Amino acid sequence: MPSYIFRRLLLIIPTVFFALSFLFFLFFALPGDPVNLIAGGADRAPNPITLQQIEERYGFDDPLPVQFANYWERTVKWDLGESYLNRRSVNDILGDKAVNSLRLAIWAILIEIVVGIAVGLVSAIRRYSMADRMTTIVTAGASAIPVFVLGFILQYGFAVVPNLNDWPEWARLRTSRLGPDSWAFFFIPTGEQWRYLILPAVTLASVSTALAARMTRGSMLEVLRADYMRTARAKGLRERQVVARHGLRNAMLPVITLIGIDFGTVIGAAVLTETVFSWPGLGSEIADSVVGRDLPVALGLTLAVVVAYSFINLLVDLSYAWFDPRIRLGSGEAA
Amino acid sequence: MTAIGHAGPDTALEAAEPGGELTDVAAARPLRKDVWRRFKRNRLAMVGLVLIVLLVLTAVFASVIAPYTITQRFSGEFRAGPSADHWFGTDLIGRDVFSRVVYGARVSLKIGIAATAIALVIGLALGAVAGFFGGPLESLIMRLTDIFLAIPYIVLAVAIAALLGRSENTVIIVLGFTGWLGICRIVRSSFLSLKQLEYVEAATALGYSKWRIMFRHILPNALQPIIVYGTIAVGSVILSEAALSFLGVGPQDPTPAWGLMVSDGKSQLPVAPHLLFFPGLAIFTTVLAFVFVGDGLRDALDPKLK
Amino acid sequence: MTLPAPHVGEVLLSVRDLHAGFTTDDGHVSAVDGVSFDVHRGEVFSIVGESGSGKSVTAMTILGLIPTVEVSAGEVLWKGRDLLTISEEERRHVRGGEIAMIFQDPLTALNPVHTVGRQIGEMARVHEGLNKKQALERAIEMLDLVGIPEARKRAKMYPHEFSGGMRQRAMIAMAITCNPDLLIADEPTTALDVTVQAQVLEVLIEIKDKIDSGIILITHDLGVVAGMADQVMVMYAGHQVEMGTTEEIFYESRHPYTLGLLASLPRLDDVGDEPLVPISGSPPSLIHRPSGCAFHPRCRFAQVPGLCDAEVPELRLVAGDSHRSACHYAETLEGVTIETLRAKADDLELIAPDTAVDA
Repeated sequence: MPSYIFRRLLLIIPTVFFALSFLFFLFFALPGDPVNLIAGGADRAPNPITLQQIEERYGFDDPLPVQFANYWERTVKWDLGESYLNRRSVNDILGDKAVNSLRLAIWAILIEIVVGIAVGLVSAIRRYSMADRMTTIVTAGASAIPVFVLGFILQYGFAVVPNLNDWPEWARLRTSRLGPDSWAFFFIPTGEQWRYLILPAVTLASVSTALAARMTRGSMLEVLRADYMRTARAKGLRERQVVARHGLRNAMLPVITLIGIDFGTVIGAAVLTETVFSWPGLGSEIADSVVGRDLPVALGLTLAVVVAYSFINLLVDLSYAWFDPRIRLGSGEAA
Repeated sequence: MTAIGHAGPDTALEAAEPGGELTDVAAARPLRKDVWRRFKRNRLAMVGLVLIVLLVLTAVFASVIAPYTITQRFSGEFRAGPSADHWFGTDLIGRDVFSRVVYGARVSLKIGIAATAIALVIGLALGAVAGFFGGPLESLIMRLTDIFLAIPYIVLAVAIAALLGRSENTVIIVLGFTGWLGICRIVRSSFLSLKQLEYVEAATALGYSKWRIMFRHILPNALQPIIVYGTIAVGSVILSEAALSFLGVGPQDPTPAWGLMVSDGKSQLPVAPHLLFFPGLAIFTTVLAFVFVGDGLRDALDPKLK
Repeated sequence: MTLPAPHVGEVLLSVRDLHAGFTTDDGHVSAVDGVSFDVHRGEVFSIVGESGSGKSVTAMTILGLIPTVEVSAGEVLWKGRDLLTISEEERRHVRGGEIAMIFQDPLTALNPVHTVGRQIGEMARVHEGLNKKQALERAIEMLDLVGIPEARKRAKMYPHEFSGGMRQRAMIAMAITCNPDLLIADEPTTALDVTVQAQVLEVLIEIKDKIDSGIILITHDLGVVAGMADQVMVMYAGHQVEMGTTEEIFYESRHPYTLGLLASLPRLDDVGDEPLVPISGSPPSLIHRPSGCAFHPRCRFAQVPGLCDAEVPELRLVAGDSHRSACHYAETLEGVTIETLRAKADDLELIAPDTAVDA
């Protein structure tokens, strides 16, 4: 087991390396000269001497392979460079933004796990009931609505309308920016903070919650038909015990895989959610930096995301092995 | 069938019952007629199918349905709410939103179908090769998918879109070349399990070529999950297209892309929510239709889940 | 073949005129149609039939284990109560505590994510209220009883770490944990290797004598029946077609279906040149049952127009005090043996309709 974890950790290195290298060359090929960008934009026609200084300072006059080597040399030392736009250190930007994203993500994941799995379970156990039918429709709807449209609809319903109609203060939610940034235990909003948190958290959670509910339902339906469930009933267990002791853990297996695989979707949703709500997190910063050709920021923040993704997948595989003793870690690959 | 046991023979009745085997095969590959019958009984799936038919008709006959063109401006009627003249109101520069939403069906369908087709071809080819041949080729392909899975697709998409410039074709390429990962994994795992079945071994023993076995014997049996996945993928591609448009790397104005229309309308949310609502509704309905049909297909193809 | 001397006690279970079926997309399927039988303490009662004959549904209905089955008529009498009408809570106590099941494929019937010891111990926790530790001790004791070496170590292992034979022993251990009065074994050896089957059956018989219970043994394998059963009930298309002692069924069968089954089997005393005679045709669809005797389209003896294809034969006493058959021509079959059948393998009309006695 420890050797398995070690090998998996080693495997993360080439994945991260190739992913980031690919992006390095892709970003490098993007149109738009970073030198102009740093000097304040092409329209301003900066003076040629400034341009040359910039070229030297950032190493743009080096050949591409040298720049590439330099990039990795700095990166392995965890020096992510500085923004072309405002000269801020990318390490600092990452530290700021990651915290905000993490808080949002924690709440979204809590919603996903609690609501998604519970709804899926109830739906499977009470199959063909009204609740089940509603779940089918609502979850299909939630997975079909664009994250940003949902975000705007929530803004409109819970913030714009209450404000226009002079609803009592407690019924008005905030739609924009981080808010007072006051937290207890890192992630619990205090004071007015919850007004700012609740809409983006729900928006970010919507897609993955719907997916988790659908997956849990399907997987639980399958488990309910399994032979060992019949065995459990034949032992004289109550139906509730049958489901809780024998069904749940088996039904969670595909859901865990989903949570791991689906991380990419969550990042996508985070980019959109943070953009819609102007939440100062990694997602919106990545989108802005790629669109704005701010290479060091884009690469640095993406690196953090890719590393996080790899570790989450490792965690998923480990928890998978905990849930399913048939999977023996260490022999072959768990993927 | 095993031979004589300790107390006599076993599995005698199996020998006397050739019917059992046949039913199993029939259950594994349902007749088209049965699939359609089961599909028809699923109300949501039928709703989805009707919506898709309507959407296709809208796209084809957009010029007939839409009262105005996508660029025609009505001076003095900026961001006006829905009215008899303009069912969905007018946008910031006085264009008819209804007409633009109708024409938008063309954009979404074109991108959805073309990008899904590209993703299917790539995913099928790589997945089939990985699952069927195994060995270093498989490792290579699976490493590749791991790497691409690790890159948040939205970063990749935004970067490629920025590289190629904003247009419908760019979006097709971006989504086609980032969407094959899921299909590749599905195809690989069904090929892996199918190639171990007796009939494939039989075909190998008969000396058929690998390619023939792959395409004539395995692929037809691996199609079911691919069909389901492909249907739902059209929906999610349309969703991604909207997201790219919203982030400003999709098709450019005046292309009536629904995501772009939402994006343009966002600043007017308090005063003109219709600018956001109608194109948003169009995206939602379209994607929902593909989800319903995909779900219905899955249930109809796999009756044991019912 | 020596049968263990049965010590047959009181009637444990009485099934009376049981009718059960499913509703499917294609209509109602009558899976069990008017089945009646008694099981005594100390006895191995075997239900034989092809898949789809209703043998498993009959057994599952006793404990109400298939939720989709609708019982339309009949009684399942157990200790003076009808298991079909008692409350779910009462039935729960019967399940496992008084009547325990052993399933066909122990790999799928055991939960893959719990240890074997925990799954066995759970039985004692449910019915005897033992705590976790006591339950584990009981599980180890049970594993020991069914002949699993190093039971203490094995109890902490998962089902996939057991061999097929051991898994089925574990299944048996689980079933007997609370000293049930009746064991229902549904194809207990079908999923096992031939060499392991004998051992598992031996364990089953030993255990039955040890805890003094009865066994309902459901199987399609006549070899298993011959080695174990005291009483045999043959089912075809949801009907009982023949009942009797194992001797009666194997050596004096009075039903063409049973005879057909026996003739299709090789036997240990075969010298090698006897032809095996398969039953022609395929099992009937339960939705579109053949009219009259469900077996008549495949019957090699008496496909009498107007009788076999029109009237459903009653199960009636045909010999001794317990040998029953549901064939219009059961009496005619007296003296027909497998040998006669095999000798005349080509002769499809062994008994011409006109020589048949009037029933």
